[in-house]
Amino acid sequence: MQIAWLDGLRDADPAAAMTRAAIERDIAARGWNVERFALPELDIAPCAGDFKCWTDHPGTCVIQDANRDIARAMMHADVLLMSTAITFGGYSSELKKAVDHLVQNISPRFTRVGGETHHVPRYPSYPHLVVVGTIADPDEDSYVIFNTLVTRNAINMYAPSARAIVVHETEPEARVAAAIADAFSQAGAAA
Amino acid sequence: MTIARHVLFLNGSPKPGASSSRALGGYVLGRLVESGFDTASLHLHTAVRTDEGRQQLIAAVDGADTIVLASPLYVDSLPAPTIRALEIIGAHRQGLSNPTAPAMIAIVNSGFPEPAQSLTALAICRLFARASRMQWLGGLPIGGGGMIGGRPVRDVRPKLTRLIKALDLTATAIVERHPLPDEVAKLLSRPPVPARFYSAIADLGFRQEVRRKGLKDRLMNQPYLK
Repeated sequence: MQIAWLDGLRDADPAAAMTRAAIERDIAARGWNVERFALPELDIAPCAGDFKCWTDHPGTCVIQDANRDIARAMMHADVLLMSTAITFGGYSSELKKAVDHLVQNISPRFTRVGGETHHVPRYPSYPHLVVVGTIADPDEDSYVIFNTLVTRNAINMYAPSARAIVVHETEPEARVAAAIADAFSQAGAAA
Repeated sequence: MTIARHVLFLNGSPKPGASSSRALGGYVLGRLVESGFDTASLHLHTAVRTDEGRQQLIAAVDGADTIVLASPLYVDSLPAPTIRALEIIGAHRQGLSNPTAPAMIAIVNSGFPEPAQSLTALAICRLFARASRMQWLGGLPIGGGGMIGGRPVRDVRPKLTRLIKALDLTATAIVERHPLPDEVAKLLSRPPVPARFYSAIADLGFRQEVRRKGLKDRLMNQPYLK
């Protein structure tokens, strides 16, 4: 099993150390290979919205930075793992700076999925999606938005399965580890 | 009735020049100018790059009675630099003991025809407003942003009658500092043109562009295939 981990957690984010440790322990215990991208340490230029990854060199972003390595890692992975501080219910800018570039892995052409318009997949298969979000205080609005966002991303990224995990700052470590283990077991069984 | 007098337009497009976000925000600003508002604009992707820009952003927000954010939809949310701007504003305002309470509306336009695809991004904007102690007046999900293509909204053909009416109602709500009326959501609930027609035209446009660039056979390239 190959994991591409887009780690958007900053050290100062709620529950960052505990969450990261739980993920690393679980992956090590399973013997899975992981390629981790420590996003706060990476200088990734913002997506310019110029569609050149669709029209000028299809499948590759024009910007030559880590965004290309991340896009490649995603397509070589069985599971795309993303971790982030939950920011107004969504992903932090640290994670999003990588996610914005993932459009190079789909095509510009349109199709219908579930009664909606989406892009045609560029590749024959895509990784399962697991997204871990950390938050200081429990907040129902944030849970709903975060879960919806992960579900929507899974549709647009053609993930065969998707799982959103929310970690509170005060949550017992054992419960965090169990949630991560459960998500990886499901993704691993399905992959 | 409280009349807000100073409106700040936060442009969330990566493009500093013409863009659909600027066209949509610009239309609302134009209506507000007619109602006697002063306006200012900031390009968020530029502002977040430097300390000076970030300070200007914070000062501009603190000095505004109304915030109008317009942004494209990026992977079901806002673009990263736009989120960064909201993080900066939110962190600043959460630290204030007695902040002003500007009103806020958000406009999110998507390249997909269905307006509903922008609702998650608008929910994020709503939580930002709550966390930043702003008065949330509502959000406008705009489908078929590719039809605007950076042109003034009034110049787009076929004419975007329902969108223009929704933007007019939005300007009125801002003037009166009321939540957006339900009619705005109704007007924007359907794609501006049938979804299949929009997709066919957009699809054709992309295929013609790659053909023009001599890349016809590479449109579905798979550079990262395992």
